[in-house]
Amino acid sequence: MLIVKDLSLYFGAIHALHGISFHVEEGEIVTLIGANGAGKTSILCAISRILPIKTGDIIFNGNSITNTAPHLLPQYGLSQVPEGRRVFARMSVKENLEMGAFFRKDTAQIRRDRDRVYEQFPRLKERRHQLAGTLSGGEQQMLAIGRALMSSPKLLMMDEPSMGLSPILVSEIFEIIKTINEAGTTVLLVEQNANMALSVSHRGYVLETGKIIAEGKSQDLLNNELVKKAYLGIA
Amino acid sequence: MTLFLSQLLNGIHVGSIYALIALGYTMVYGIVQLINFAHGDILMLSAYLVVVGITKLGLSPALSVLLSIVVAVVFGVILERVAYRPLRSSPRISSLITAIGVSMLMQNVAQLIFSPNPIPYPITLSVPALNLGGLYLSFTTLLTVVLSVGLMFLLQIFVSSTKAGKAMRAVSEDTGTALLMGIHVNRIISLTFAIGSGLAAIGSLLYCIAYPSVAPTLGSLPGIKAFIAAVLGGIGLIPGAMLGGFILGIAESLAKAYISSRMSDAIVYGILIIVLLFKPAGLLGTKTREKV
Amino acid sequence: MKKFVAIILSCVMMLSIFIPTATAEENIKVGFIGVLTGRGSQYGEGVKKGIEVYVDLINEQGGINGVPVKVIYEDSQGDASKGVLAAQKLIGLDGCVAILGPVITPVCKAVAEYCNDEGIPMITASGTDYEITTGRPSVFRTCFLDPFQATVIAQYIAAQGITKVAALYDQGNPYSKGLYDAFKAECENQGVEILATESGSGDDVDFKAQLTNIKNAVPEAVFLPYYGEAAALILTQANEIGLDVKYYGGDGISNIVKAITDKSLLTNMVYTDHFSNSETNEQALTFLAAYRKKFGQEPDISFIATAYDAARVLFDAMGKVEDPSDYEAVTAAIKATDLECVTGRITFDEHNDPIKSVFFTTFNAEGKQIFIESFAPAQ
Repeated sequence: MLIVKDLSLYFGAIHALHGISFHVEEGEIVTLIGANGAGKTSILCAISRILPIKTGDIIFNGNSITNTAPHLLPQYGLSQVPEGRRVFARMSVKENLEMGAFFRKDTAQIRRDRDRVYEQFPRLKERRHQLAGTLSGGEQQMLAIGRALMSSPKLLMMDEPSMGLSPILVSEIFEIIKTINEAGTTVLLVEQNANMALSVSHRGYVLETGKIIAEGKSQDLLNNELVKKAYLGIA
Repeated sequence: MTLFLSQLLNGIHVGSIYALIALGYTMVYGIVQLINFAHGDILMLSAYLVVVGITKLGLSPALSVLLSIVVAVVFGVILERVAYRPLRSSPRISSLITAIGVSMLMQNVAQLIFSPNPIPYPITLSVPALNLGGLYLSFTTLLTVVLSVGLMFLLQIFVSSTKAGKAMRAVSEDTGTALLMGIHVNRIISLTFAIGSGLAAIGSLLYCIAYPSVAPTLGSLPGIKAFIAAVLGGIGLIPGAMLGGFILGIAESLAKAYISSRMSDAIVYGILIIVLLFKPAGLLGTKTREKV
Repeated sequence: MKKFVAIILSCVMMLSIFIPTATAEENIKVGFIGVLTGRGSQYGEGVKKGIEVYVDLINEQGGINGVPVKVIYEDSQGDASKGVLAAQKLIGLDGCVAILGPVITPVCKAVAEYCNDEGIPMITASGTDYEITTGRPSVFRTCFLDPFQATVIAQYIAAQGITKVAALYDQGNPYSKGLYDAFKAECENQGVEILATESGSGDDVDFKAQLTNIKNAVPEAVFLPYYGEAAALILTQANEIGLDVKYYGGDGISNIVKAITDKSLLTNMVYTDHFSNSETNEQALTFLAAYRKKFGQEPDISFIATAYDAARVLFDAMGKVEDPSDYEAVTAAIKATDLECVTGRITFDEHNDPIKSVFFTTFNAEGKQIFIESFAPAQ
């Protein structure tokens, strides 16, 4: 579904990505793990076309999106839950969800999708008229996910959904990710919390200072000595 | 008492015009963080278009005004496209300087075409006024306040209930995330400039009916005052522009009536400074807090 | 080779400085300074036209003692310092021997100071402020004075049976303030009460606050010593708030017709002017015919007539002396003037002011000037 080939990117003067290559198959959950500053967010921003790339190719569902304008991607089925949630704080929960479906014109289906989001996240339904900025951290994360789902994505990219959340909420969120995937959405998950990310995903890539240093089935990576020492906190 | 109410009415009259113009400043600032110094000169552009329409093209006043609104809207959109969009990734000071440059360019071009001498605005209202138990309410005042408040009301509805309006709010808040939603950010920004310019053109009509003198520098003074009104109420906030406009107009009129006309400007600027000392983000402004 | 060319070029450059002077002897040069752009420009344009008409006439007759006259026109833009710079250029660079103008009071004062320092003869056709000629023997005017016209207005108002008035004037403008002070003084003599006095800058657009206060005082008439542009805005706004009275103003009002949109409001305006097109003396008829022929319309500003007179007085004086560039001789000749002119008989008193009449004027609903009556000063 998504193929990234030899992606290189500069963030200001810093060479953030050095010829990254990876792919995501339909129906998978693929995770990119690595420490802070490894370049994980840069990859997602490059795919979303928010950051300009130096070299490389991004191919989504057979079409090259390397030069596509960013606002067209949700229409192709590619959506992102950004790092730090980035909900529209001065708009209500309901309005945030509406924004997620902005480019869509099929009102009836939009309403059905919205109801499904409310089903999945009952707390959002309770607070649907509240301003998003007044929600708790966990609720905002759910809103950000729900908002991305409103675009009816084929591939959902998520940037560090566990950040700043309590362990209970983190488990809840990862359960939700699994449910979304089982319902048919492919997921590309970028995470610092390597443990949770690898236990929920099918395959993974390990990123270190802009380069992929390990890849494979998530189960295998969990048992990989290098990964265990560096990222899983197991001596 | 009637005298005070009359002076208050004067203030509400001029305040509603300031509010209408302030909306353009505040919406543009909200969405692209730019103070469009050329906004006030749209008043001048519209006024001259009406003059040309009526005196040179022989159009009816209504048609001339319509023409002035359409041209102002198109001008605003083109201005954004040509002067401001290319500088979006440059430091903010560049766009600020460009805006000042555009303003000077407009005034000088007008001076070349029309000469710096003031000419009379060719539209007047000669409808008799209302006498409400001693309080004199002119038709011009009534029309101005009703039209301004009505337009502000419509704008509020547009921004809170329509898809495009909500998109404007989203883009104002977080342009990057709005892009991720599939919102065509450039189009929304153009729309913002279009609405702001349209409102300024209508503001020009109301301003010139009250003060029927057209010169290349027409837009400078009301432009600055409207900008101050926007900052006073909270720049970037639509209700702030409305509130700021009325406060400024009333303060100015009352100062002229009861203190001194020479001091009235100083008093108004003084109010602005005091307000900003206590509320740096303006009367309605708040530092946005986001929970992590 | 390069050095040789450089020397030749610098010689040519030096010689070119002398060329203007070389041609100067072929005609008599007189300088004009006036506001041709910005507020009051209609007055500047008017004075320029009046001078042009007379210059054409005199050159048709061969000029001054057979020498043609050339007037060089400079724009003061209504700014005193620009006016003085213009004077320095006209006298120092262009070889002018006298100054006609300036037009508005602040510029007149500054240029009069300069002319007095150098002894240059200056005649203004429109500077009505008293101080312009005080202590300046070479500076004259062919129009009446502000204190005079303001005093006459107060007398005229009293003669209408009006006892309660209000005043709106521009504190920061010497013309407006000068008129107001004289008006106030004469009102006291005449027993006319000033119920309310408000001030508003002539550069401002909004006078509603002041007008509302005036309306509250319920005067029978309002004294409005402004230039036409501001007066137009004031009348419009006064009408809007329902202040329905007669307005009295000075000669600065006369360009109000071009500045106002609703001309029907002008029927309430009475002002003092220097001339009326319905004047029938011989000079006036000659002037009107020549003006109509040159510009294809009636003169619309009274200063056109006083400017014509100023040019005539100056050239007449120059014709009586041997050397028109002899400042003292020309000054003395001007002082001794006793001419029947377009705007009346002109002679000068000790203050270099002409002893002449005031024309009370109003408008009809289409904005055409209507002459009411003339008022001669006590001799």
